[in-house]
Amino acid sequence: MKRKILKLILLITALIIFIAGIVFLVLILRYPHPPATEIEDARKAILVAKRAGADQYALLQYKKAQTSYDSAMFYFRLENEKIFFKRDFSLSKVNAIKSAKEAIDAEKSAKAISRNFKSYLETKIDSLDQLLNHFKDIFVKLPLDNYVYTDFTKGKILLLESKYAFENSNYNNCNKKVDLASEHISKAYEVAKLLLNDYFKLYPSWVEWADETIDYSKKNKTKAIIVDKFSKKAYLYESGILKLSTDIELGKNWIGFKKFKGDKATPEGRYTIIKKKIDPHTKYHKAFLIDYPNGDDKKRFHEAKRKGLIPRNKDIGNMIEIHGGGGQGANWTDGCVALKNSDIDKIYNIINEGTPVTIVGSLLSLSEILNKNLL
Amino acid sequence: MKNKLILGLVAIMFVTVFASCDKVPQAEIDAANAALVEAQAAGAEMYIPQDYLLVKDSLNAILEKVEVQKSKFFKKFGECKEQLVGVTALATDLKAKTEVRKEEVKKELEVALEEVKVVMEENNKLLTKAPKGKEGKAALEQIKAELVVLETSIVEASNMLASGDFLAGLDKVKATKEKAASINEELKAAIAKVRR
Repeated sequence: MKRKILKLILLITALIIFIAGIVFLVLILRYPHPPATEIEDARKAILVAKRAGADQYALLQYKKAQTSYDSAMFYFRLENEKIFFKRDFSLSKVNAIKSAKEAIDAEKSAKAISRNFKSYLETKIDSLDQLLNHFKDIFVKLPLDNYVYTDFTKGKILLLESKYAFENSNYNNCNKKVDLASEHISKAYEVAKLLLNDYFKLYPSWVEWADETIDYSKKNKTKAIIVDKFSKKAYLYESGILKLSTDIELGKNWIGFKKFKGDKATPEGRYTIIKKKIDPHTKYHKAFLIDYPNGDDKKRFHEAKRKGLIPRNKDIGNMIEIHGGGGQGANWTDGCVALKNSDIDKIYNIINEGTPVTIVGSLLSLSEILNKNLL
Repeated sequence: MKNKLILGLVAIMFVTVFASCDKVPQAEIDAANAALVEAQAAGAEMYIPQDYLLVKDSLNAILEKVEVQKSKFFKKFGECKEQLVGVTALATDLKAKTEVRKEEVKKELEVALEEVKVVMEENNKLLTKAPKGKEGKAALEQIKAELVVLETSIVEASNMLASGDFLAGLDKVKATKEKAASINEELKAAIAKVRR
């Protein structure tokens, strides 16, 4: 009897173990597979996207990919909390696949944008460099207020900073710096351009004066001097033919008409040499005194004084000369035209009293000057 | 014989149950996360971004593995645990490297600041030696205006040094130094010209 009971117990146990084994086998076979590969792919794609600069150039797509990855991991963890046969990783898998796709898109966008952005920045830096050189070549010579130079310098430093940021592949920072630099440089450039536009209103008169002077020289077979203040050149004509050109230096406030004595401006107009001087009668080696102020200067001076544009105690001034002592590299005279001693030596003996001297703002138009410097 | 079979089956079931109950290495996960947060707080993302990215990705990869193990019937966290210890060490090392790099940049910034100050001091001296009076007065006025801007830039860079913004400060001081050096050359040339 005992043997029979033992046999039965054994049989039942074996049956239970067998059924449990079957159940276990079925569960193992139906055990939900975690989306490990999909999640790994997503993570790797995000890393590649990040290395391509997606967090800078395709931030939205990159963030989407990151969020989808986080969601995939969230659902992964959530399902893992459940008992194994109740787990469903489909949401995690969907998010992981989505994340990988978004990361790949972000990477592609980032590569395209960064390529374009880099060349966009390069163009921006180049054009600003050009504007800067343009400014340096033309406007730095202009008598501008200090705040203009301050803006110019700030812009210049910011542009240098942007170049360092570019070198370090910090393109967003570079962009910010270039924009700030552009703001400062453009501001300075506009102020200077405004001054020039105003100055060049007289350009037609200058051309007329210069043409008439050359004509006079041609008809009377005489010498004539034309001073171009903007290009800082003096031209010597003989019988209407250009014989010599030299560099000159002027007064600090050389733009515009001379208004009164001591304003450090070089006058503009048609004059005549009234006296030749040589050391020790001049402290500037050799000199030609011109007949400033002429009738037009006097008329302009009195009108400005009447309108209150010139202080009542101011005098019109005189003693404007073409003299030596030049070559200082700056506009330093009190309003005279300075030539290098070697240059004045060349013309001193061939120029006589009575020689016409025409001083103009510029022989080139403003657009010619700007284009010449930009191209 | 049959008894032995039963005992064997029961033993297998015990081993199975125990094997499937390996514990999640939460302490190691927390330690790794904390180490990475510390490295990030030290500025690793800014000063050694590539290294930071690598460690962060390694940690993410291990956390994925942990979840994969959690989802298995037979859980084995031994390898994950080892890797977590490794990544914690990497994150700690990253923090140390960040501090070193940060210190290097700080030093570089300090040296550059000192150098630019020396150049500026020389510029100011040269400015007094530069031809006074009529000669080059306009040019000197411009240079003075530029020097004022540079002084402001130096103050800004010094503030960045004080606030710990070393990388931006370094860019600023490098640009300032370059400009100061160009002014220095300009002034020296002007003085030499007058002497001739």
